[in-house]
Amino acid sequence: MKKELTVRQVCLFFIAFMPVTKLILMPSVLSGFSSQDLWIPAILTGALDLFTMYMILKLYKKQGLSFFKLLEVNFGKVFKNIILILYFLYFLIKGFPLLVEQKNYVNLTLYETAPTILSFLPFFLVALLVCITKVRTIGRLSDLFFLVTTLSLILVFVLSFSNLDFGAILPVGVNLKSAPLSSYYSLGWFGDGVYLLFLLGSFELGKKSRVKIIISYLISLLLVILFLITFYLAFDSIAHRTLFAITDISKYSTVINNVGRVDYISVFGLLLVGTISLSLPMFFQTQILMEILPFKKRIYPAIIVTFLNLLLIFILNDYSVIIQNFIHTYLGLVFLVFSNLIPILLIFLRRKNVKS
Amino acid sequence: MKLSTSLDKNLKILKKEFTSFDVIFHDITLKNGKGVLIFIDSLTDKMLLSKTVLSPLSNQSITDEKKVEKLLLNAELKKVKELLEGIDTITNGNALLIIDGLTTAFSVGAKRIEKRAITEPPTSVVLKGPREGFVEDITCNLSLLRRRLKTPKFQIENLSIGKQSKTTVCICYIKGIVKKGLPKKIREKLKSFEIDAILDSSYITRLISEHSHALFKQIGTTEKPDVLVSKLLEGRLAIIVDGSPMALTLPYMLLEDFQSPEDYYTSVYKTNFARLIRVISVFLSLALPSFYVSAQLFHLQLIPLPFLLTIVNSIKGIPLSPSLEMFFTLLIFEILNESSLRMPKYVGMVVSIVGGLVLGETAVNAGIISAPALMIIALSGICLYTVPDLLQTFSILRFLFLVIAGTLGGYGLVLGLASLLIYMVSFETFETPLLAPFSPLVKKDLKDSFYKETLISLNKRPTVLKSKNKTRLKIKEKLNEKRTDR
Amino acid sequence: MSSLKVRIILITVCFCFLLFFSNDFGIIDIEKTAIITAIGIDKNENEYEITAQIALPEAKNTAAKNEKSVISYKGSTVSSAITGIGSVSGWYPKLSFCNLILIGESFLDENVINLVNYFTKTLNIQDSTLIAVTKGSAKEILKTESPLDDLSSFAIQKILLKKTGLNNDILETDIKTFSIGYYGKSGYSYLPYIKSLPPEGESSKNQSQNNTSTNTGSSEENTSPNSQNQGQNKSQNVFDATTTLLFNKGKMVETLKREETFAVNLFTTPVHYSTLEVNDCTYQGETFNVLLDILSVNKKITLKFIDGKPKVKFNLDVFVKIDDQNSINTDLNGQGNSFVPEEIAKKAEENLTTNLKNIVEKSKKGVDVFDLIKKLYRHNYKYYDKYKDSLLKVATYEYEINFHGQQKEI
Repeated sequence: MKKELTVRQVCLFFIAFMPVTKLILMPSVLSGFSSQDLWIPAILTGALDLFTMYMILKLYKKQGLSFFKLLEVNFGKVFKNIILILYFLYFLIKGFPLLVEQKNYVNLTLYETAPTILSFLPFFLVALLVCITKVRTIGRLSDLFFLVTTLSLILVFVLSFSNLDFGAILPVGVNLKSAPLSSYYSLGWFGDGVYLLFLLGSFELGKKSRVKIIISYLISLLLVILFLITFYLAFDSIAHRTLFAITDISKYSTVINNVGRVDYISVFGLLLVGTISLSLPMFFQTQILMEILPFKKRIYPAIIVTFLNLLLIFILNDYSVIIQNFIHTYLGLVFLVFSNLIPILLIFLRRKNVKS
Repeated sequence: MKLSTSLDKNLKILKKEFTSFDVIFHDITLKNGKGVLIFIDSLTDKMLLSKTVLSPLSNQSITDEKKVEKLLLNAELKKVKELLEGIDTITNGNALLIIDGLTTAFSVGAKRIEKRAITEPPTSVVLKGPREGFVEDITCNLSLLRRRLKTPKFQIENLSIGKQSKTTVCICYIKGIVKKGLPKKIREKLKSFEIDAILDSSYITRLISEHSHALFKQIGTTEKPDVLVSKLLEGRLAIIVDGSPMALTLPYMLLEDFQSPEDYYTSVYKTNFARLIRVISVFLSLALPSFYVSAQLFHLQLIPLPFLLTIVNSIKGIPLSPSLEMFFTLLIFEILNESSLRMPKYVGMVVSIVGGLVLGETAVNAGIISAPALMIIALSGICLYTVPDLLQTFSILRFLFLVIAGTLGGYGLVLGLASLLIYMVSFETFETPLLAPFSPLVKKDLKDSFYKETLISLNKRPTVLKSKNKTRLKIKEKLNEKRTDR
Repeated sequence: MSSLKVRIILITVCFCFLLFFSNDFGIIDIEKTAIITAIGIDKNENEYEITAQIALPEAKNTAAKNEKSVISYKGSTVSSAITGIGSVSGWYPKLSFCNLILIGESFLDENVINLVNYFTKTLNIQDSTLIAVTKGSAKEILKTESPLDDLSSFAIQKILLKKTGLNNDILETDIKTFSIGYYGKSGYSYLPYIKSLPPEGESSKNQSQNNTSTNTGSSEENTSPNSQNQGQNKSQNVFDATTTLLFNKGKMVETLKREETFAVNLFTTPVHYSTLEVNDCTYQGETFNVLLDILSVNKKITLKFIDGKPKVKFNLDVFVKIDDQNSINTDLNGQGNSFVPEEIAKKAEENLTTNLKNIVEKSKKGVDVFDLIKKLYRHNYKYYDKYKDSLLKVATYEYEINFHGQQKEI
C-alpha cells in the first residue's frame, strides 16, 4: 500500500515547521540565562532531540510499525489507550504556551487598537482545517513551506547583517554553568522528536532515509542557532529584554527607512508557517482521538480538539503568562519524558509478528 | 424496429416522426418501382445528393441491395436496417434512401453544416506561433488535430451524449502515452449520465468533475489545436464536443494557466521573464487591495511615512471607511467588467468612457473615493488579466480576502492564505494534485513550471501525469558529438 | 454539498460581511490618528511635560502652521502624558512613526534611563528612534522653525542622520544603542546635545551665544558649517548637535566638544568623505589654516596585557588631501591637492593626539568612550574581574597617529 508521505516530505517537514516556534520568545529567555552563550543550551537540547530521532528511526527500521500499532502489539489495547491519553494531555501542555506566545505576539506587535480576542480567534478555524486534513496534506504543505521558512530567515539575516556587533558573542563559554538549566527551560520549545514518533507508519524507510531525516533536523537546528546568534549580535546586553525577536531583529537596515518595513515580509512569512506549526499538536491530538474513540469521520474529533484548545486559551487568558512560565519552569520533566525518554526507551521493545 | 419491405409502411412511420417543414421526402421513380430520399433541407448538400444518388438511380431497375451499392457513388454509404437508426441518420444531416421492396435502407453522407471560418481565438492571442483556433464543428476540429498528429496511436473515441441533442463527444488521447485507465474512466463517467442536451463543453466539465463545489477548475480548457496537441503529448486526455470551440483537457494542474503557448515559441529569457510577471501579477491582484485596506486600518506602521501622509491627504473627506471604499470600488469594477462583456460592440466604447472617466475621475474629484484606492483597484484588475484563465476564481478570492482584511487585518490575511493553501494542497482531480509539481514536490517537473528551461532540457514528460512512455526527446549520438565539438 | 454545509458556509459568510460592514472593532480611523514624528520630554513641576510633534499633511507645505502641529500635555509619568495628548487633541497618538525623542536639559541632573526605559518597554515605538538632549526646553526646540524642513523634528533628524559628506562631528544614537550601552558591561552611553542657533547676526533668548572664531581646539562652542545660514528668515533657526554628552549608568558625567566628537567618530564609526580643519599650520614660514579631505582611515584600538598590566594603543592612519587653504604659498598652490606637506600633517596629528588625550582623561571619570571594558570582557576575559572597575584609570595609553598625503610632485 502506498504510504502517505515520502521521505523527502518528512525531511522538509522538519526544516519548514520546527524552527518557527522557537523564534518568538525563546531567544530572549535563553539570553536571560546564558547571555551570549545562548546558542549552547539550544545545541544541548537540539542534540537530545537529534538522538531521540535517531533512536526513533532505528526503532522504525527494526519494527516497521506505526506508533499506535507498536503500542497495541506490545502492551495491548487498554494500555495503549492510557499512553495515548497521556500523550493527548502532553500535546495540550506542549501546545498551550506556544499558542499563548503567538497570541501575545500577534496582539501586541500587529494590532494596537483592535480587541485582542477577535484578532486571534480565527486561528482556530485554520487549526480545525489542519486537523481535518490527512497526513498527506501536512507532507504537501511542508513541500511548499520549507521554502517560505528558509527564505524568510535568509531575509532576516540579510537585513540585520549591517547592524550586527560581531564581537558580542564573545567570550565563548563563560556561561557554561547555566547551560544545563537554560537547556531545561528550553525543553518546552524543542521536543520535536515526538512528531516523528507520530509520523511513523506514514512513510517508508528507504536507502539512506535515516541519514536524510537526521540531516534535515540538523539543518533546522542550524537555522535556529544562527537566528539565536544573530539575535544576540543585534541586541547584545538588552537581548533578554527584547521580546518578539523576529519583529525587531532586522528593522535597523537602512532600506527600512527608504522603502518601508520590508522586514515584515519575513514576519508574515514566518507567521504563515507558524499557523501550521502551531496546529501540529492539535493535529496529533485528533489522530489520538481517532485511534482511541470510535469516530467514523475526522471532523468530530477535530472539532473537539480545536474547541478544547480554544476554551483553554480563553478561560485562562488572564493567567496565560503565569501558566506559560509555570509550564516552562516546572514541567520540563514532563517534556523530557514524553518527547525524549519514552521514544528512546521504545527501542528496547522486541519485534513481534503482526497480522496485517 | 426493423424496416419493412413496404415503402408505404415505412413512410407512414417516418412521416409521423418528422412533421417539420424542413424534412424533405423526395420521391424517386425507378424502372421497376419507387423509392424515397429523406433528408433535412438545412443540413444536407442537395447538389451532392443529386450527383451521387438521384442521377445514378434514374431509370434503373433495383432488385437488391448490391445493385444500389454499385450504383451510388458515395464514400459514406452505410446500410441501415433499423428504423431508429434511420431516424438518427436523418437528424445527423445525412440522407436516408428507402427502396420499395428492400428491407435495407441506405444512409448517404451529404452533410453540409454551416460553420464559421477558422480564426484566432479571442481568449488566446499570440504574437508568435500558430493562430488557428477550434470552431464549433467537430469534424473541422478533429481535422486540425489530425494534421498535427499523423500517428495511428492518436485515438479518437466517439460518443453520442444527450437524449435530445445527441451531441457528438470525442475522447482523444495518444495510446502508449496517456495514463493507464484514464480513457476508460472518462468513458464510463460520460456514459453514466442521461441528460437532455449537451450544448457546450462546459456541460461535460460539470458532469465529469470529481468535486461539485470546488473553488478551482478541475478540467483545463483550450481553444488552440497546437496547445491541445502539446497537452496530449504530455500525457493528458482531451474531450472535444460538437458545437463548442472549447476543448477540455485533463488532468488539470494550476500551473497550466501560467503557461502561455507563446512561451514555447519565443526565447527562454523572454519566457521566464513573462512567467515571473504572471506570478507576481496574480499575487498582486489578490494581495494589493486587501493589503492596502489592512495596512490602513490595522497596521499603519507598514506604510512609509511620506506615502502615509499622501494617503491621509487623499482620503480627507471621503465618507466611506477604507474597507467599504475599496469594496464598492471593486464592485463597480466588476460591474463594468461584466457589462463590457455583455453589451453590443457599438455601445461598449461609450460605456468604457463613462466607466473610466466619469466613474473614475469624477468620483475622485467629488470626494466619493480616493485616488489611491482607485489606482489600486485598476492595477489589481489589470494584473489579473495577465492570467485570464484564473479570472473566475481570483475575482471571488479577491473579494473574500478584502473582507478578511477589513475584518481581521494582516493576521487575518495570513490565516486566509494558510486556509487557501491547505485547500489547494489537498485538492486533487483524477489523482493529480492541483499544485503539482510544487506540492507534492516533483523536482524533474520544475523544468517547465514558473521558470522554463530550453526545449532540449524538456526531454521527459511530466512525471505527475504518470505517462507510460516517459521520454519525448532523444538526441542521437552523432548529432550530440557535433554539438560538443562546437 | 449537503444542506448543512451550505447553511454553515452561508452563515459564516453573512457573519463576516456583518463584521466587515459594521467595522466595529474599536479600530481608530486613520483621520483620527495623530502621527507623532517626534516627542520632547521636559520636567515641569515634578511632572513630565510631553510635547508631541504631529505630522499633518498641510503642515508640510505651510511653514506657518508648523507650530499648530505641536501639542503638549503634562502627566505624572511619560505614558500618562502621552495618553493625555489623545484626550486633549481628540486624536489617537500613534508612536510607530516617532523617529526622534528629545530630552530637555532639566533631566540632566537625574538618571536619564528612567525616561528611556519606557520607550524600550513599549512596543508602540520603534527602538531605532533617535534620542538626544536639547539645550533648554525640548518643547521650544520642537516649536522652532528651521529652513531645513517645515517640521523641526525632520530638520533635526536630517542633521543627526547625515552620513555622507560634511563633517562626521555628530555622534547620533538611538534608543537601542543607548540601552545597550546602559545595560552593557561599562554602563557607558552617550547622547548628542542639540542647540538651536539663529542665523548669523540674529539673536534670540533661546539661543546660546555664538562664537564666530574658526580656531579649533580652543573655543568651547563652535558654529558648525551647517549653522552658517546667511540671508534666512529672521525666525528660522538651525541646529547644532556637535556636542556630545557622556553618561555612566544613565547619569551625565562629561561632555565632548566638536573636535573630540570627531575624534571619537574617527575611531568608532566608518568615516567617509569627511573634512578636518587644521588651523595655524606653519609651512615655509607662513601660518595659515587648511581644510583636509579625509580619503581613507585605517584605525585600530588594541588592549594588551603586558606583564599583567593593561596597555591601550591607538593606531590611526589617515590618508588625506588638501581641500582648501588660505595660503598664498606658491609652492603649495602649485602642487596638486594630493600633496600634503609634512608640517601640515604633523599639525593635524598633534591636534588629534591632544583631543584623544582629553577624551582619555574624561573617560577616567567612568565613561568608557572607546569600549575598552567591552574589549576587556570579550578578548581578555581572564583579566576582566580584576580590571573591570579600574581599567580606564590604570591602563597606560599610547598614541600612534599618522596623517599623510601623496608625495610632493617634482
